[in-house]
Parts: sequence; structure tokens; C-alpha cells
Amino acid sequence: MAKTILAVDDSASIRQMVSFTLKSAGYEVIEAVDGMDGLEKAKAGSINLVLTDQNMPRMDGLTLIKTLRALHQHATTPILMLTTESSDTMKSQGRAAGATGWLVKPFDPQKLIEVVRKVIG
Amino acid sequence: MQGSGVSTNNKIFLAGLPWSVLVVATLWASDPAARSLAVVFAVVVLVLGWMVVTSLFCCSAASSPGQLANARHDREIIERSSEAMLRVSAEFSTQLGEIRSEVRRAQDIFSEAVGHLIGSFQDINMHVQRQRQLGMAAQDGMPVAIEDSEQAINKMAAQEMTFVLAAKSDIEQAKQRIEAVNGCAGDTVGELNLIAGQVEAAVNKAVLSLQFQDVVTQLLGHVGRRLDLLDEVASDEQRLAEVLLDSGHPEATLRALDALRDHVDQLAQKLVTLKKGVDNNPVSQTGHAGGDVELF
Repeated sequence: MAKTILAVDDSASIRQMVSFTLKSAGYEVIEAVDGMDGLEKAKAGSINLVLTDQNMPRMDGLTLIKTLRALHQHATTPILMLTTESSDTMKSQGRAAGATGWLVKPFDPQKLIEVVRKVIG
Repeated sequence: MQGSGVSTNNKIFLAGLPWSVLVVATLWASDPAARSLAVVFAVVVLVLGWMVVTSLFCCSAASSPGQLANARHDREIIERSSEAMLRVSAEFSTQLGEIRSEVRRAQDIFSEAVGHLIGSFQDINMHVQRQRQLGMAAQDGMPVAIEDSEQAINKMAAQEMTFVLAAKSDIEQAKQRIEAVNGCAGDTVGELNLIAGQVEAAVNKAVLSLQFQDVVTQLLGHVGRRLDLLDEVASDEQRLAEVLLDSGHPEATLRALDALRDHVDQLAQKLVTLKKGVDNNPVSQTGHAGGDVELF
């Protein structure tokens, strides 16, 4: 059975590109338009990996990670940040919040698939 | 400026008083007859008179035509400055509004164009995938079909030996032609697969490039936040100009200067606070290469 990835990003084009890339690699992809939407979808279904942006309306990526980590259901779910932010300060905050990895946009499709395979197989 | 000094009339009166005292003192010193009680009384009255006249002129100095003209002139300068400030800040606000609206429009057009590009890209990719599948199916099916033909010919040849002997060379030629077609089809399918690989590499590049909309949108968002900051400054400057314009009298304006200075200080502090909000630019990329990957 294909593993499910939750892609959280307020940019429709990024969601489409992430979805296109991961689906072509054989994964199921659920899309969410911001942190709040992502949280609801993560609570609702079985998710193997979360791929989230940082700067989004309503709830940003770091808050989403902290909130998910506080849930028993997603305490150990791999969470990757996919963002334009690349400062060391932000990466440290991400690591402290419980992120599994940090990918800087724009992403290379091959690299994304490699990282996802490394994290969830 | 009103209240800044003593007028010419007042100076005359102030100088006249000691001059009169000096003349009387000289008279007293030179002529003993001048020291009579009547003269002393007259001198006292004269001095008091000078004092009364001087104080009267000093008090009414503000109302003198010269002072009034000065005050009017000062008032006009303040009014003109305030009006100029109002005009500039209003124009500044208008321009900021225009820039914001143009940025928004550019963003909308850009998003729509990228949306169409992504749609086309997905369509093209879907067709390429379909073509590749067809090529692979053809490659898989071709040897089976040729093998079936060969088996049919062999079977037919076994049943009709006379026919085979007579048409042996024809059958051999047919088999050679079929093998040639098979080889040609194999080459074509191989080439198709090569093209499919190249298309896949191009698709990856397209996926990388089509993400630029998000990067540009975030940059434009940051530009918008900077415009908001400038708008705040323009609004505050407008309020400052209105306060200046509303003060009815130059004296009142002078009194209001302390309040205005406080206002400017607050504006400076506000700028520092607002600047913190736009200091962190979420986009540090200068080109469009793939970003770094780091696993914790």
C-alpha cells in the first residue's frame, strides 16, 4: 500500500509541484492550504510524512510542527520543512520544534524523492 | 518674532528716562536754586510720567502694527509649511497606494500565467507518459507478434512440404524482412525510451522552475510590508502637519512644539519597531538553483 504524505503550503503552484513529484514516485499525497488546514488533515487521517512550508497564513510551519509533536498520534511522524527560509536561526528553531529535516525552495524533484525515500522508505 | 525684544518706541522711552534724570541732576549740581521743593516735585512727577508712559508702550507693544505684521508673517510661514507637508504626505500616500495596487495586479497576472503554465506542463507530461507507455507496450508486443508469425509459417511449412520446397527462398526472404522490421522497431522504441529519459530530465527542470512563482510572491509580499511601513510614516507626517495647521496663533504653535517634538520621537520609535517586522526577508535566494537539503 502506498505511503501517504501531507503537503502543507499556501502556494497552489508549490502544492501542485510537490504532489506531481511525489505521486510520480508512487506516494499518495494529501494537500493542505495552511498550517491550520494541515493540522486538521493530519488529525483526520493516517499520515506517514508531513512536508510543510514555514510562512503561511493562520498557522505557520513551526507552530504546526510544535502542535503536531504535542499530539500522541504524530509524536514521531517525520516532518520535513520545505521553505524559502534558509537562515541558521530558522533551521535551529525548526530542529528545536521537532522537524526531521530542512529543504530550501525551490526543491529539486530528484532530491525530494531521495530524501522522502530515505525518511519513510 | 513676537516677544523676542523691545520695539524702537520702547527703546526711546527707556533711554529718555535716564537722560532726563541726568539733565536734572546736572541742573541741581550747578544751580542751588534748582533744589527747591517745587522743582524736586516736578522732577518726581516727570520720572513717574516717564515710567507710566514706558510701561504703557511696553504693554501695548504686541498690538503695534509692526508686531502684528510680524505675527501675521510668522503665521503664514507656519501655514504654508503645514500645507506643503500635507500636500507632500497626501501625494506620498497616493503614490504608495498606486504602487501597492500595481504590485497586487502584477502578482495576479503572474499567478494566472504560472497557473496556465502548470496546466500546460501537466498536459504535456501526461501525453509524454502515454506515448512512453505505448512505446513500451509496442516493444513488449513486437517480438511476440513476430514469434507468432514465424511459428505460423513453420507450421504451414511442415504441413505442405511441396509448397515449402518450392517457396523456400520466398519464406526465407519474408523472415529476413520481418527480422529487419523487428530490428527497426526495436531501434525506434529504444530511441523513444531515450527521448522519454530526456523528457523526464526536462520535466524535473520544469518542476524546479515553476516554483519561482512562490519565491516571487513571497518577495512581493515583503515589498508590500515595506510599503505599509512607509504608509504609516506618511500618515503620521500628515497628522503632524494637521496639528501645526490647526494651531490658531504662532504663540500657540510655539507652545505646541513640545508636544510635536514628543510626537516626532514617538514616530521615530514606531519606525524602529515597524522596521523589525520587515528586517527579516523570507527570501534569500538570488537565483533559481535547487535549494539545500539537510536532515537533522
